[in-house]
Amino acid sequence: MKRIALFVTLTLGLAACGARTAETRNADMVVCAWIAGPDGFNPLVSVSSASTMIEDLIYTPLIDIGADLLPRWSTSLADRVDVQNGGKRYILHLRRNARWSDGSLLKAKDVVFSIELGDNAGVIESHAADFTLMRSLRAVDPSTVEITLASPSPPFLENALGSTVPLPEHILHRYPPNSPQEAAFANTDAEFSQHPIVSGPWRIERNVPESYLILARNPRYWGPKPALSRVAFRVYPQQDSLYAAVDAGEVDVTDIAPNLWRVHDRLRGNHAFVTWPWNVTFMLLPNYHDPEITWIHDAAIKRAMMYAIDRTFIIKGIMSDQADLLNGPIPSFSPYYDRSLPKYRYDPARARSMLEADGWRLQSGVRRKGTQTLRFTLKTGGATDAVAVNVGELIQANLRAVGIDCVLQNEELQTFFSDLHNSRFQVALRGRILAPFPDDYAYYDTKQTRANGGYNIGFYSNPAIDRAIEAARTAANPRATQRALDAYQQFAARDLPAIYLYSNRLGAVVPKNLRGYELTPNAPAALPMGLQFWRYASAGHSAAFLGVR
Amino acid sequence: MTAFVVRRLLLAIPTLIGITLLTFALLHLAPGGPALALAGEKASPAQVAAVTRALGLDRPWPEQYGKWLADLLRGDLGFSYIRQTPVVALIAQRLPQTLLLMLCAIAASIALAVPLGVYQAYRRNTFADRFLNVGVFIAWSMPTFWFGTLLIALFAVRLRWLPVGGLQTIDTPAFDWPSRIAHLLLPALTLAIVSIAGWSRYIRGSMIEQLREDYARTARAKGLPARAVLFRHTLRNGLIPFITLLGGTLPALFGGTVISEQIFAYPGMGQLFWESAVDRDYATLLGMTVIAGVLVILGNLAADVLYGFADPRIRYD
Amino acid sequence: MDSPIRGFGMTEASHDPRWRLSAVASLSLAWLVFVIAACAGAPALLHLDANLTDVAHSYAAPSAYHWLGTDGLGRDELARLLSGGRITLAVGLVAALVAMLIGTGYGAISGYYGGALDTLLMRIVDVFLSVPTLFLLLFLAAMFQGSLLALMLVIGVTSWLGPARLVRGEMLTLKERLYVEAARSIGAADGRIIFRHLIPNAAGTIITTTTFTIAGAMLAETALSYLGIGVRPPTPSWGNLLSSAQSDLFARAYWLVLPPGMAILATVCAFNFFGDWLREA
Repeated sequence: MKRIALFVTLTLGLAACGARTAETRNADMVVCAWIAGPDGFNPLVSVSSASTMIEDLIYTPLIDIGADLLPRWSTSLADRVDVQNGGKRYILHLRRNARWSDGSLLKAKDVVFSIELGDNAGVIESHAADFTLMRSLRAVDPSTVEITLASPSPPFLENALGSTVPLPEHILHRYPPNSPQEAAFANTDAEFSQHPIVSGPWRIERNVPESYLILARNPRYWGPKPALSRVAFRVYPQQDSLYAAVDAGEVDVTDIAPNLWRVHDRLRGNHAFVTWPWNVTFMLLPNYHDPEITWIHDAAIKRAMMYAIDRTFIIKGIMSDQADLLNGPIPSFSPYYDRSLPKYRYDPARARSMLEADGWRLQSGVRRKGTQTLRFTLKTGGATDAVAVNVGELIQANLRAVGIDCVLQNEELQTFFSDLHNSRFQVALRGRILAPFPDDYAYYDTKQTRANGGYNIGFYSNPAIDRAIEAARTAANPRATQRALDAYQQFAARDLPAIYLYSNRLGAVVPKNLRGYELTPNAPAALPMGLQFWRYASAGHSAAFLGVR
Repeated sequence: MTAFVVRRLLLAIPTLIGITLLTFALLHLAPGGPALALAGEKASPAQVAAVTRALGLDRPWPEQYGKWLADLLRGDLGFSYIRQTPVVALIAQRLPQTLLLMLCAIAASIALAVPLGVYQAYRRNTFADRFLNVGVFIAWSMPTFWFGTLLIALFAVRLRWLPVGGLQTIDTPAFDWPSRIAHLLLPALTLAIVSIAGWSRYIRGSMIEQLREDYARTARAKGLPARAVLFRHTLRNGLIPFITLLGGTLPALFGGTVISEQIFAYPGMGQLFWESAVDRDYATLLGMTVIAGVLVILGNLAADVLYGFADPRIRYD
Repeated sequence: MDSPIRGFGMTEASHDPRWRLSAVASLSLAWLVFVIAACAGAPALLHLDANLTDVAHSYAAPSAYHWLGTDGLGRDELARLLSGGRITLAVGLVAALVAMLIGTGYGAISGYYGGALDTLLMRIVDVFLSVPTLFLLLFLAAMFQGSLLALMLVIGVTSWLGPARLVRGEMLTLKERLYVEAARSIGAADGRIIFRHLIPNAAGTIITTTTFTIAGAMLAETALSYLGIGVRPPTPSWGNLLSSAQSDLFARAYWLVLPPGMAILATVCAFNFFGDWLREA
């Protein structure tokens, strides 16, 4: 008995020592955390958002998109772009001093190679849809690339080129772009995926999969050297454990989910809280081909639903104000947002009268007209997503109060995505990531069904909106672009291809004396970006937080 | 004894084939598949079809199983496309961590269950016994994730004695013992809480039987102190059937690691299993099933052999 | 403090505790009856609506109007607790029923016929036991999910192994009894012997095992709901309520965290205690 007691005390003592040294660390390192870690570092193959964020840090982007969703040339590979011939020719001038971590220079052939892969629909993470208008692509000399388009295309610079990550052609060239299957499954190149050759401000110092990852300064980076020598990323699969880790001081920077945002002021320690807009919009997307809900084609009903749903409570109550009202397809923080859009306020009485006026009479709680009944099944994905669950339940309650029967069906995530993919739903609660230039062509154009390579999973079809989107995509100058987008937004706010709910905001916790972080709306992993500019200020500097509300 | 071991090992082969066949069949009956998860949400049907073909998923499943089995016999457990790593490498990363965790859990369980059971047997039907009974049952009935969260709230957040999660302190490259132990304590305890309850009940019952035996009473009557009789004589006999119980709880412990590792961010087999199930990563799931099956079979075999050594009345042939 | 011989069985109380309910066992039984009655009847009696949202009063602390406060959408927590209890208890009971039906049948046949059939059947059980049950459970629940019935079946199908083994053990002992010999000699069919004689005589073991299986099934539902593959929202269950209330632990909305946790704990505990008392009796 005594020996056991001694052993136990010894173990606990050792553990206590371990714990005290457990989370002390170099003051020059910041610890970030997320729920799921990266699954590889080859942008062509990796799927997780953590991977995308790390890839943004370890590779020099062709065109870096800043926090204002416009190109930032000081951190891009292309330090100048000439647009000629009325928007149909792009000349990219690349920096001459960019290098890979194995010493070789970053050249135009890497850019051409990467664009070709991005254009190759056989590659997993390709974005061929962005390159449909590209007609030719060539490397003029080792630091110049020329691209010609069939017609001017406003989204081309920010969406297509802005999402291209130059990859080392001398390493990956054995996967020629015209061989879809080999390019898609670089399994003999798993080595590159785990130990990539990098070109950005950071390199991977240590990666323990699903546990933590440490980035260190890349000595071969051509640009501004990061102030911090290292950044660590830890994985906590459970939301609550992540939060506890922040409270216990193990984690400095992480995003805070909306359901935890309402209690963020209970965290102890030296934290600052920042919130900023995120270009993810949530909506109820109907399936216009479903025979049971043909009434959904009637825009008046959809407008009534917009009045019936208490979106203000969704934002203030469920999401702790971490969202903005969405009045159309483009969120309000976007520079392309039309401020004169009609606003739908929460007005259930108005919704009821609209439905009555349209001939829908209440019968045992549900409205009917002739043979049709206002009833649909709403699919949501993921039972552990508290926000999705609560939003679904609230919408059900709100709609039932005006006589529309909404049946909830929550599915496991993979099954949910599979059902969305195959258009097996009546109405789905779905979140959508917007590109820097809001181009809805693939989502709502009549021809862009899944079978034709688009994402119009709801089979929405409206020639007027098709024309508006096409006009925005091919406008010749910024004024024409804005006019076209305004027209599109006005149409969409009236015809309602989807019931627009809200656009998410992001919330994060950062150390009080951390400076230099950027709050970008297209942050891939919901964390503050601009890591190469992060630095610790000494105590005594006044706080100047970007975007704090 | 050798014949027994050999026979058990030979029987293990059809057992493993049975398990993997069942898993394979279930995997392919289930909706969804790795193709969509791999291709991502934005993939076109053509892309998903290409992925399906490249992964060989469009072949009938018995043919896929045959191929998988053939690969297995060659030592190739497959490739995880989602993680861009061979399955063997994945398991080699995670298995030692889980084994370490399970070892700690077993050690903690034994350290707590044995004294508890012995004490309860010695003081059976007294107030102490009944009181501890209630406590043991409460531990048995508690949802593990709740227990884990409470442990974190108390020890990691409020008292800051132990870390919330992870493998070890991230700044130390080597296998750093003190921080490893600190990070193992809470998950091991969460994992162990159910076994502690079950095992202490079992030991209590077993010890009560032993204490009623003639030899115990004789020893006591001869004047040996109670402590000596308890620990030097009856405990040895009382623990023998416990060895088989140990073997039998290995699958339960494996299963318990899923939730435990999730809560404490411990990168082991349990977490890998859960993520693979969510991502429909067939190769990894199958590989893990094989490894888990092998370990459980070996564990049971070891327990039975130990039992044979411990109890001279048992003869295996 | 006590006689040195005491722990060694010399002064064992000799009265028969068989049918005298210990304090704990009677408490457990009372609690189970109370919980089942409350979940079944109270919502109707007390006019509670688990789905009535009232966003103006979300996260309200317990009061006379809402005995257990309200949740994030303003729904009455007591109503949700009781509705959730209905679901969790139903899952536990039906899953245990499925498990016991399969297990008893399987174990009875295996134990009664013995010999090669017994070896084969028990081998199959061993195969299944080598698979960590939770793995199988997670797997099945993640892949085939949707209805409550599917969940009950899944939990039941992963819980029948233990009962099968126990019933088989009982069969092995019972079939040596004289009345079996007698029944066989007058030409009674095997099925009749199993179902009309042996199983009723194994009733003690079967009932005890059932209570433990119910407890296990309820805990399994909790674990699955925590991982998001158990009872799917909007249907409340104790597991659901507990897992979605985890973040409320930080908010100190104790009225959302404690009731489901305590309810699970108390009810599972009660089943375990009761089963344990039955086993000793």
